[in-house]
Amino acid sequence: MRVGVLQTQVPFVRGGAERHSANLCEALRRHGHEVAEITLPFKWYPTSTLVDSIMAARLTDLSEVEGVPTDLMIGLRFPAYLARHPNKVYWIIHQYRQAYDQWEAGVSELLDDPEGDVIRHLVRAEDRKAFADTTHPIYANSKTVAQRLQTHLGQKATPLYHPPPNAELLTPGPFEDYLFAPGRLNPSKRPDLLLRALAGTASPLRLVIAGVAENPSYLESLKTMAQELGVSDRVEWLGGVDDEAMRAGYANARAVVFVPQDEDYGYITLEAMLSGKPVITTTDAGGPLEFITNGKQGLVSEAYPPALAESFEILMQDKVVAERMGATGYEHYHALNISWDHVVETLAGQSHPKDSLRPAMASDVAETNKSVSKVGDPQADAIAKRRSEIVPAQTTRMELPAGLDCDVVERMWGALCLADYEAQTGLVRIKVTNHSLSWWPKTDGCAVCVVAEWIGPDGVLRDTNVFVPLTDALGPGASQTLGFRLDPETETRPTRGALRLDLFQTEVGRFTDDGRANSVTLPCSEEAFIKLVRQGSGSHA
Amino acid sequence: MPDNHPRIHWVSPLPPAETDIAHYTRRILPELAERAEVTLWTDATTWDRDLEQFCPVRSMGPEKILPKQMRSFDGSGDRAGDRPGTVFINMGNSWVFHAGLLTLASRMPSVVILHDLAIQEMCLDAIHNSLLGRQTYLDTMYRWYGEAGRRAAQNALQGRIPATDLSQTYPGFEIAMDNAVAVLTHTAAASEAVSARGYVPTYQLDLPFRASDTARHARPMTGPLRFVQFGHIGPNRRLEQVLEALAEMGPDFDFTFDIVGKVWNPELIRARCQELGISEKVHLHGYVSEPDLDALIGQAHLVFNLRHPTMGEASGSQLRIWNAAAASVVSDQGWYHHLPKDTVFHIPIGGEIAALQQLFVRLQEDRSFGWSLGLAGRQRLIEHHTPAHYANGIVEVANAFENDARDALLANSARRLLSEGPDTPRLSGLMLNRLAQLF
Repeated sequence: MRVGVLQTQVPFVRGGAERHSANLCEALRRHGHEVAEITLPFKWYPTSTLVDSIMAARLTDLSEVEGVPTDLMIGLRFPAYLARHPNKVYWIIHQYRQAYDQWEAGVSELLDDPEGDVIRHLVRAEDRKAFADTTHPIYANSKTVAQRLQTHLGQKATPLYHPPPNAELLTPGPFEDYLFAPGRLNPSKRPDLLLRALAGTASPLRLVIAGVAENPSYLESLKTMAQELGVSDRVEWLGGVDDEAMRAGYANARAVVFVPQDEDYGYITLEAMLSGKPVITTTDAGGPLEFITNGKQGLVSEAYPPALAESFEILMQDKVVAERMGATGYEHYHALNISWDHVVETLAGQSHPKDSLRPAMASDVAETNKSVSKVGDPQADAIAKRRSEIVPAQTTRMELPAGLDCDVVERMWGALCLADYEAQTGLVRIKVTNHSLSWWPKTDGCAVCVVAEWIGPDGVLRDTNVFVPLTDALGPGASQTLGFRLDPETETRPTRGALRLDLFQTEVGRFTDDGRANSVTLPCSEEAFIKLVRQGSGSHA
Repeated sequence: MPDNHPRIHWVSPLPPAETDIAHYTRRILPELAERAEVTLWTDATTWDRDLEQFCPVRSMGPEKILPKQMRSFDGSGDRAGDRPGTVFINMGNSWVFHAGLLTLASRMPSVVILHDLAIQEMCLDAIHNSLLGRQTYLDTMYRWYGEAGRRAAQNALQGRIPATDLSQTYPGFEIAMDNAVAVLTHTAAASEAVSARGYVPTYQLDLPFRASDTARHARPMTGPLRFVQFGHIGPNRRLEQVLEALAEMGPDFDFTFDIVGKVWNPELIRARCQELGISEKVHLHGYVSEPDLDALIGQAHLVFNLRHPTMGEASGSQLRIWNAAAASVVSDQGWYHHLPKDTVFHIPIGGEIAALQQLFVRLQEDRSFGWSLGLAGRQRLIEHHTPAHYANGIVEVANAFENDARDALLANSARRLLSEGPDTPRLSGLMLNRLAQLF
């Protein structure tokens, strides 16, 4: 299917919602869908601009592109999800909370605007209409969000959980002597509460805080508070950390503390559970309470420092309890069927991943194919440079078929699928499918070709070659099969390394660079690879 | 989704303010408070504490109040269930009671209840009393009435034309609905005038009045004929014409004329009575209590409820007259024109004095002349003007507010878009047509 993912964009801001949308897109693609992430910019102040944003979304027609219908639209956030499409399914990660629970909590900006109450009416009217117009059930990313829909609009919504962005990186580890507090540093996450609780503990308990403050002066105020509370020496401020540091922070902690106020979902809770760590949270935290029961997967206390301090002490003083709760949390996570496959099947219907070799989840959509070259390896650096030019490998060179040079700018979409592979004989059949709207051209146009690369046993890219230019034109939706033979593994010639096949378009680049196709990887020795490329073009079917 | 018990913020002058709009609010309050979660708002600092038996009453500064001050919560600070509310703002033509409310209406989108279509007097007085910005007013007049309207307004501000003359051509109700979500009127004429603007939805309800259990009357069958006129009496109430008509009946025409309420120029009226030689028969009472007023109406053989010019406003006074089952005479125009002929005497605008005198003659011959009109009027009051019926209508308007608010805000957004868009009417028209199709 052609699927659009409707997301609101606040320019220059990138956070959990953006990663969530990217991961959903990636998951849909792995299931063979053609996906476009459609973002609409959103500015909500002054109120007249908020109204204009709603108007803009309502005026946006996404039913088709260049005459080709978009089959399904998945709406994630207000007001982007108001855009027009005849087949929309909502998976709500954000309503406009200022019109709902934040108003009741007394923190909405609308309270200070003379038009604030009538804006609430507008937002509710738009949400009601949007939800009434769909034939699909309404989904929410958590019970907390679903409950808000029920409370404020009387709208039934089904919670549909998804994994946190770095789920596959997280692993359980030892239980060391610190409490880990990751996440953005802003008042809604209540790091000040953590500091006050820490000050109420008797034992030399350490708090490791990983995260960036949205406002630098807020971080300074927190550090000043720590000093005034006399806990500066017990707080470690990590700031922004990379994925490995975050993983380690979770893996080695005694427990994870997460005390937001009425959080929608809370990746941190799930990340803690995946790391096998108990979670310390509060009774008003919202999302975390969907997964943490007091005394089972962690501790839940009232949201005031002495109660929280007591939770800190319990887990720091009793490692066995922490281990037990962490294990319970780990098992609980896995029992909940929190997977992208489940999400995709729920939103887009039953489908199966097209390729059993799944690429890593996108933690940043711009970061793809960067892990192959190791820093400091001169040969790898040279290869990487040549790779970007698609110059054939050192040992072999194949001339590009005539007509490959062109000035095409239309970006093609496609898919590679391993149709057949006989390890004994080395026979390989690769099915190539055109998912574009246009024909993949012949040799007198801008041809699409298959690029073959050999990756060494150490994971470093060693060879690149244009392997099989597709000399036959391939129409939209059409497929053709490439066949070739790799020398099979023998006792004297063990297979080490891998052959990777990508689709490539002249003047545009590698399809996998921006998600326009997947790649296929097969075990292959360097010798077999060289033999393969010397054979020239394989057979086409 | 209709809310069976909507939240309503009711902004109005409140008793003991000397305006019928205050009495009207009091009239509907019991039934309205049964059907909705009501909070009364006033820009006065005092009010009749009796109102608080029905709902909270709060004072506000119309130029600065914000939604956070209007949120509902109980004493314990529990803010659960703070649903969006609907603000109703009652608008009339007296600057004393409505200048502040006009400021609120310009800040806070609401349902504006237009008790009067012609509000130029209120606007001009508000400007003179520094409660409305002169330039803001002129800009608004230009926006709604063009350059001609702006010039006329300027002439009125400079005293070259009276406000009543200005109102004839440019009634000014649009000024009150500039930021409105919807408008509620009490007459077909007002509803049509507002609808003709095509700006916001218009609702119409019959003005409410709480009928007494019975019509207490004691109209004497002997002695002088008793006449009454009451309310906020300006030149358009045709008092001078009534006095002239009475005087011309001659010295043998025995009558008593009780004038109750605020007369625009009591000295002028007293002087005129002196000139006409009827001073001893005409009594200016000023404001009296409602029971005393009802008693006077109950004794009247005829009540004068004339209006010319009129801008189509309904008359709470007429409902009070009907409650007493009293005979009344009205000008045959505006809202009064549509009153059933079996409930009032209609007299033409031209030839008022002659028409009035014909009535006087008939009454002199037969004091029961007009009783059937009074009874029919009371019947109409009971069937069409109950507070319960009115309160049901208010709840319906409140339930429609969510969708009306959406339409109003999106329409404003579209207007902003068009005002910043292509200069040519054709291109703007293309966008306008497309917006009309979509919304």
